[in-house]
Amino acid sequence: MGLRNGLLFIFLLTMVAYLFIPISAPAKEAIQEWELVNPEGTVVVKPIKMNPHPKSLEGKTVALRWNGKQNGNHFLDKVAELLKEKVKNIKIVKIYELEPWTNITAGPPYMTPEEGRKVAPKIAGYKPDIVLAAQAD
Amino acid sequence: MESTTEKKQSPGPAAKKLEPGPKDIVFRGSFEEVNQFFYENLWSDGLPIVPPTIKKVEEFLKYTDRFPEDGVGIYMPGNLEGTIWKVAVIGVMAGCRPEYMPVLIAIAEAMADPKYRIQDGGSTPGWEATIVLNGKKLIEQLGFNFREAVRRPGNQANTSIGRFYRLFSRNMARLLPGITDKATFGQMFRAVIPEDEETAAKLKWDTLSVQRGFKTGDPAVTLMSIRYEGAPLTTTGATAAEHLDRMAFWIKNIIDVGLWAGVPGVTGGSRSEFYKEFAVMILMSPTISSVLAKNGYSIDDVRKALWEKSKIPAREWDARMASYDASPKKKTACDLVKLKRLPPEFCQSQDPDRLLPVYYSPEQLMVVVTGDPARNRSLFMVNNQEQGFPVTRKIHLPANWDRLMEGKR
Repeated sequence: MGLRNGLLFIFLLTMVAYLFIPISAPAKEAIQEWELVNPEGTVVVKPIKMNPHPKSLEGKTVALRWNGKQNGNHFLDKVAELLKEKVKNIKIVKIYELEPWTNITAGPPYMTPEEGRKVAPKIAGYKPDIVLAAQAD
Repeated sequence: MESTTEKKQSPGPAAKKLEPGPKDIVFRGSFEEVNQFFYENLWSDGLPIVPPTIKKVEEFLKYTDRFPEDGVGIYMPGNLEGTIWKVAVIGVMAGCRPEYMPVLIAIAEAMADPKYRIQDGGSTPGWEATIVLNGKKLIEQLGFNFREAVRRPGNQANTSIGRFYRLFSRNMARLLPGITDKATFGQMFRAVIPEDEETAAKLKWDTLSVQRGFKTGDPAVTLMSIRYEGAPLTTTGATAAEHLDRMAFWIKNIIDVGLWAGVPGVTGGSRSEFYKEFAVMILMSPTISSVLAKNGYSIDDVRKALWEKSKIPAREWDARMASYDASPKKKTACDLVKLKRLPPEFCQSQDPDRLLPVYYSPEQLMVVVTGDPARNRSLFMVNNQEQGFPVTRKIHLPANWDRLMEGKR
C-alpha cells in the first residue's frame, strides 16, 4: 500500500466517521423567567359589614333613595307601588320626596363632601329596615 | 431567578391573598406567561407590559427622595391606595424609563385630587386625560418631543407616560371597560404634550403652568379631561384679528353650554351651580402664537379676545342649554339666573339677541404653545363637565437629580 492509497484510506475513513456524527440541533433559546410584584393598589378601607337581609318584608319599613338622575324616581315609584301591592303592612318611606336635597350625586358642585356625609344619617333617622337605592343614569 | 423546574403558576391570585406586600412575588413565569397572567387579572391594557420585577422597580425608586410606602392618593371607584412603590411598578409596566419617576408621581398625585374626579373616568362620554408638561430643563433632560407630531406615539417619554396614566387608572381606580368603565365609546390613552417653552419665552408668553399659578421654569404637570376636540384649525394672515376671528368662530360652534352651565334636568334639585372650573384648552403652533405676539397680544389678551369674540346670541345659548335639560320645561339663561345657578350678568335683559359667552370667563381658556413650528394650526380641546377639571402639580425632583441625569442623554 503506497502513500497515495494510505491517504485515500484516511480520507474515506474520515468521511464515514462524519456519517456517524449526529447533527447537532440549533441551540434552544433560553427562556427567561420573571418574578413579579403586584401592580394593583392597596385596599385601605375595610368592607362595610352588611346587616342580614330580612326573611320577609312584612311589617318592615323600606326607605327608597334616588340619586337624582333621570327617571330613577319613576322607577322607585313603581317599586313602591309593587311593594305595597305584594307585602302586608309594609311602610314605604320615599326619601326623595321627604328629603329632596339628598337627590343629588355626591361631589362638587352638586354636594360638598360634608353635605354628602349627612345623607346616610338622615336616611337612618327614618329607621328603615332596608334601603333601596336607584342609581339611575 | 428560580429554575424553570419550579412551580410556574402564581402563588395564588391577589384575590386569594387579600393584601400582598409590595415585594411579594405574585407570579413567576416566562414573558408570555407573565403577560397572560397580567391580562387575565385585568392589570394590563392588552398590550405587552414590561414585567415589573423588584430590581426594575427599585431602579425607578432611585429617582425620588420619597419613601416607597408613601401614599400618593386614594382612587375611586377602586377605593385603592396608590403608593410611590405602586407608581414605580406601573411605570415599569408602561415602558417608562426610571428617570421619568418624578413626572409619574406628579401625575399620580394629580389624579387623586378630588377636583379631578377620577371616579368619573368611566362615565358615559368616555373622556381621556390630556397631560401637559412644563419645565424646559426637565423636558429636554427626559427627551420629550414638543415639535412635529407631538401627540403621536413614537417618542418614548411622550408615549409611555401617556400609557402610564391609563394603566394607573386600571390598577388604582380599577376603571375597567364593561365593569366600572361604562364609556359609550371611550378614547385611547394620549401621549403627553410638552410645551414649547423656548418659543413661549421668546414671545414673553406665560406657559400653561404659569397660567395655572406656578413659577416660570418650575416643572409641573397639568391633567384635564378631554370630552372632545375640534379639528386642527388652519388660520392665515398677518394680523391678530384674522386668526382670532376664525378661532372664535370655531369655539362658538363647538362648545355646548350645558357642559358647564348646570345640568338642571339631572340634578332635579335647586343646588346645582355652574362649573366655574370648566376649561377649554387650545394647543397653538409656534407660528400662530408668534403672529399674535408680534401684534402685541399677551396670553391674557388672547384669552379675553377669544372669550369676547365667541359669544353667541341668547336664543342660541338657550337652545343649546335645552338639549341638556331633561325637565319638561326647558330653562333659559334667565331661568337659571333666577334659580341662582348662573350669575346675574347672564340675564341683563330678555333680549334674545343679547350676546352670552359659551364658557364662563376668559381665564377658563388655557393656551399651550406646542407642535410643528412651521405650521399654522390650532386645536381646541373641551373639558367634560365637572369631571376631570384641570389639575396642576409641581414635579419634585430629588436632591441629586442633576447628578443622576449626568450622561443619560
